[in-house]
Amino acid sequence: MLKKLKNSALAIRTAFFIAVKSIRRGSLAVKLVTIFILLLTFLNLLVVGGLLNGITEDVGAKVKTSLTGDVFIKPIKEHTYIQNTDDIFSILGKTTDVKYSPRLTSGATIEYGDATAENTPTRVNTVIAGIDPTQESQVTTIDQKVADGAFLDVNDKSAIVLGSSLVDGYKSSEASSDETLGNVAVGGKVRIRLPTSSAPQEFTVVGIVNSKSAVVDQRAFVNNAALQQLLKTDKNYYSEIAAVANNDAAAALLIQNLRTAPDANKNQIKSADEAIPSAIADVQKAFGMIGNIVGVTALLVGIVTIFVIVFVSASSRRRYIGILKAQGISAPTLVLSYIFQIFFYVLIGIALGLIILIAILQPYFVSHPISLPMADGQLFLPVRYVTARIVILFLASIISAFIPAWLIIRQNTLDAILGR
Amino acid sequence: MIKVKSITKNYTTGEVVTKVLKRISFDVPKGQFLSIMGPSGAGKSTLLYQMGLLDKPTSGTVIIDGIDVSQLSQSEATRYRLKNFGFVFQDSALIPEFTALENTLLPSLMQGDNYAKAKQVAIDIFKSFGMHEQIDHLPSQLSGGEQQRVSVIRAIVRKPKILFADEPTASLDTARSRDLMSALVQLNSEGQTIIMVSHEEEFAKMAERILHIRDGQIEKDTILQK
Repeated sequence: MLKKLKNSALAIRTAFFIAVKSIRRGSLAVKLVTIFILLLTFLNLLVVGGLLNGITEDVGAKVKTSLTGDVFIKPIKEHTYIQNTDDIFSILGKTTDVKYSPRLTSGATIEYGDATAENTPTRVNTVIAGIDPTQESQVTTIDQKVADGAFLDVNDKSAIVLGSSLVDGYKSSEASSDETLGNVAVGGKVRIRLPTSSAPQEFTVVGIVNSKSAVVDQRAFVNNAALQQLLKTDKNYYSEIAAVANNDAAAALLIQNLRTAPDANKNQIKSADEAIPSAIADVQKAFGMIGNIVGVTALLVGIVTIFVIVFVSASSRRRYIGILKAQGISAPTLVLSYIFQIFFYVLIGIALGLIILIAILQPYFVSHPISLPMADGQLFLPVRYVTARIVILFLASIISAFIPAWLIIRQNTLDAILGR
Repeated sequence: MIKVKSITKNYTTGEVVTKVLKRISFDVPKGQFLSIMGPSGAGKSTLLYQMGLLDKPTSGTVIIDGIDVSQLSQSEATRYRLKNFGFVFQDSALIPEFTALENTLLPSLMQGDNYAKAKQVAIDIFKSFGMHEQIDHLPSQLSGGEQQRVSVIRAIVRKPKILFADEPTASLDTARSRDLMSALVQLNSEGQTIIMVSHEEEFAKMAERILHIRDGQIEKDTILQK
């Protein structure tokens, strides 16, 4: 056992010696090409996936900051409104540093324009959200996402703020087939018709919000009291409550408190992640898969290139390898020398890649995010994500160097010496 | 010291069996300089490869210091070669990225020698070969004769039991060949066992004994009077 360990240590020492000399005095062109390929592979592994991560993160963040907060409470399917609101408000009120915004929502048809011989009013079916603007501004950032006009005033019961998807010229995606109200401008009048009441109610458009969150941008916002009046509901009828806590631990505690309260099962209590609409969650999954596919493709290209470089290098040195083996340098020692060399090149490639990522690409995408209809894409590279890819690249490179080196080096010593 | 017992070596290509060595037997005492001579295709290099554990005989045995080395596994044979053999081939095949000195250090490193000590031993041998000024030269900066001398230094740096030389002068001109042969004779005079394949009589005669091979068999075994 000790003898084996000693032999292994000697093999490592000799392999390291061969690798160091080969790296120092090997062809500069081969060295540069190898490092460049590994650098590109590393960047490919991280950049596309990182950007897609950034987009999905931003999509999630926008849903959180414009709709759900840290904790989102909705009625279960059997109920239209949240049950036991007084108990819920009591828990929310008792929890330190928690802000919340209850909302009353209803399906509605919004009309714009007068019916005349030449003109037909435009109509969209959408969701009207009745909010308290003061509470809402403590929980979400939609009051800061006003693209035109202003946000709701708490005292103005006839004001409406339209989501950007409802209005031409503000739609996040021009390719979207969703119908709009047309060119409604701030100051224009729209009518809200609820399924429960035949008489429409007129509102003045005071602002247009563009949060880049599809759910929010398809809504229209009015004061809670105005919608209560339209729906003829009591004060304590709410369709959703969004709450924010100071930190993740506080949010988790709040969820726990809400879920363990009496009759908690009469409502849905969700964390921000759980509350992400399924369509958005599907987009996040799809982006994650695309990122992985791009990464795997890049990795395969890198692996094949390293394989070819090592194979050509070892093939062209078959005779030297044969002579070394004849002198008693073992095959594993020679294979190990190739692995050490690739390990060094991977190290350099990753180091250069990290410098480019940290010093150039990340600052660039912070100042120039990729603007998409649903999010702003920045490089999102959590340490775990980067570490996993570094390990994958190291392992893949070592395997792709080992196989060709072993294929050549394991050949018959005499055949290698005689060039047979 | 070396006992070659009834060695045969056949190469099979398809259904054709070529018998290269045919039941060859001989002994080589410790410290002898043996030349193996013969025409092309006689089997002299093949015989050297069997003795040097670079190939396995079809039948027969090679016994060195009482050990049947022809039965060693591939990795055991590699280890045995490292500890006991030195090789010089037709061309030096020095590693191009290594200096002359570095080329000679690998067997020492593989055997666990202290780097500084191994370096000093190698430098001393370079000096004895009159090559101490070329130790930091890359192979491309050395002449063919110098490269072959480095390959001899590489082969003897660990003081092997047996030095195998396969036509070591084949790629050298006459003057350089004589220099190299003088170096081998000098090594032998210091007690080094040498087994050399050569097809040049002038150099073969510089050994103590010539084994003439023809058609895979020993034709003549001559002890030379010095």
